[in-house]
Amino acid sequence: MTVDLAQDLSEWPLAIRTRGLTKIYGRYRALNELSLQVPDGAVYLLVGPNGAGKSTTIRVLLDLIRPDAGTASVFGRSTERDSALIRANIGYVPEQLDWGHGWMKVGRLLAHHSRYFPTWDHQYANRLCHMFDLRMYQRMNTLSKGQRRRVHIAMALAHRPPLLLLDEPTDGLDPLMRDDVLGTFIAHVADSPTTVLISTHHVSEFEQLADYVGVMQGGALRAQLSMEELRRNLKRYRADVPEGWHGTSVFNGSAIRRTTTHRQIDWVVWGTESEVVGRLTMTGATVRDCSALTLNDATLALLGAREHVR
Amino acid sequence: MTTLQLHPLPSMRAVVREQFRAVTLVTRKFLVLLGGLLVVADAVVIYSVLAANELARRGLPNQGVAITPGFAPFESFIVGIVAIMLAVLIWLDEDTSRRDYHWTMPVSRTTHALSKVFVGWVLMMVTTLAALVNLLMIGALSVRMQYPLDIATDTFPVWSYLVPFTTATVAYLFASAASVGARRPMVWIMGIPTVYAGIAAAFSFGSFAMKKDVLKPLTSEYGLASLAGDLVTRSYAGYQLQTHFMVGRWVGSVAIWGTIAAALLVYVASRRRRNVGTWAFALLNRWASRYVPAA
Repeated sequence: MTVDLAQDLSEWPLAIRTRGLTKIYGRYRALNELSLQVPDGAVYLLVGPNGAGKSTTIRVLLDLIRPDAGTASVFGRSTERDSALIRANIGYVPEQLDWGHGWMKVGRLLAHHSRYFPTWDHQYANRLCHMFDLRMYQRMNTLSKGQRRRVHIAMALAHRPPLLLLDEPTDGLDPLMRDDVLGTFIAHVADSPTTVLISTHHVSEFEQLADYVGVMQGGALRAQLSMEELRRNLKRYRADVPEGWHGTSVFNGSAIRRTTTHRQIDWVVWGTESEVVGRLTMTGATVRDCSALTLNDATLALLGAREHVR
Repeated sequence: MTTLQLHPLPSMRAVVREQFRAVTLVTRKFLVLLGGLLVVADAVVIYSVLAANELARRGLPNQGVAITPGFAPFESFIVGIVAIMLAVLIWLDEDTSRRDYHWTMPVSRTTHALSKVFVGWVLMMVTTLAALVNLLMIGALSVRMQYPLDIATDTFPVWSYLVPFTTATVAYLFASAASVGARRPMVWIMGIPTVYAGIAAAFSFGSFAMKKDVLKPLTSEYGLASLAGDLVTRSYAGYQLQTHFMVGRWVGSVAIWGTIAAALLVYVASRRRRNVGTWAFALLNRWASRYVPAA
């Protein structure tokens, strides 16, 4: 038996659902039958290496690109049929900092943006601008990376959308501003009922915020599960094993990653602690340590699973 | 379906109004430059008329210093060039791969693109009107100033005053289609006439019939020349042409070229291919696949 970590979350009302989403560029498959499920009101962290298809997924949700196969829906509405309505309900922070309209001044761009969103909260927008120290009279294309990013975040949050799509939202921010921005996200989610899909490389930054995590690789979803389940079931075990030990089969496909030092073996294993420890003990191994993984380590383990599982 | 109360879409009126603000802002410098050029041209005309008057008063020979200003429909190609520049400028900052800011707004992509084009067109018409009024005013003014000179100015039929507007419209629509649909619009805008001129030049060495065929889009009865008021020009150059004949050709050419440009624009605004090159390649590929068996 192999553990299926791409779990079905459809027992919850879903804000985002994709079914068999495929996008092909020439010979390159950017998305490979992706079936993503983001529960309503959850903070979902989409992680994966460069080229995994995270940004492509977000662009499909915004109907900026159309998939070659499969469907995507946001709040139960097709991204192709109701694209404008869906975009009206999304706050989007793009990956690229040079997002167009660079000739506009910050204040003008915010005013321009606000007119497209009837629910724009002017007071909140002013508060965000003050908090992010935005200079209204500067042109967008003269701003630093961090300043541009802050403008994009203010634009995404100020209309209090029910869905936030954040593509590498902390890229370009200095550590101090990163903390401020993360604090703003946390406060925003607490204030407004919002579903958040965050695509990021900086996994550890969002660990406290995330309810669910999806791990993408090669355009496909390798894992999709709640953080609670990840913390409970994906653990590192360190055990001493007797010489000539051949007990790997005991994991029955649930070992994600293994490293060996002399006769001590480290495993990252999926399963309840008591069950894994029991199985190891049965084979003659002595479990020395069992610890939960940080999200960063869990992601690395899941991404490296193909290479490391024996 | 979700039970969540979804946020509403912006009204079309709000979108068009905002596009008007944005387009005015992005073209502001260009329009100011055009206004400046017009003022300089006016100053040159007035100066030349005053200089010619002065020469006449002193009884000195007028060595061609007087410029006869006024409206001439065949000069509307200048407005056409301005319209092309305006269309390119409006879309210069927009990413044609359609992933940029403009395309993430909560408006149907086709509607949003066309609303921007529409706003630009309104601006172009206002610019054309301003240029035309300026030309007529400066013409009238210089006629009054031409004492003791008496230079007769041409008068054209009333309908021919619409020629600059239609020329600008068709040129603007074609340039907008290139700007919305192509990654490098200037390559298409400059490339097509250049390639066409090259082909025409190559055929000029051939027989007269071949040459005539190649030049048809330009010089045939409903060609681009008719669109730009060519027949009115010819009538004033000594050709005996009846008004209904000239109007018919002009209206016909406007309808044909206007429809082609508008259809092309609607097509590129609603399609999702990355650029015209990809589209052309796909067509070529489809055509080739009929004749070349798959490997």
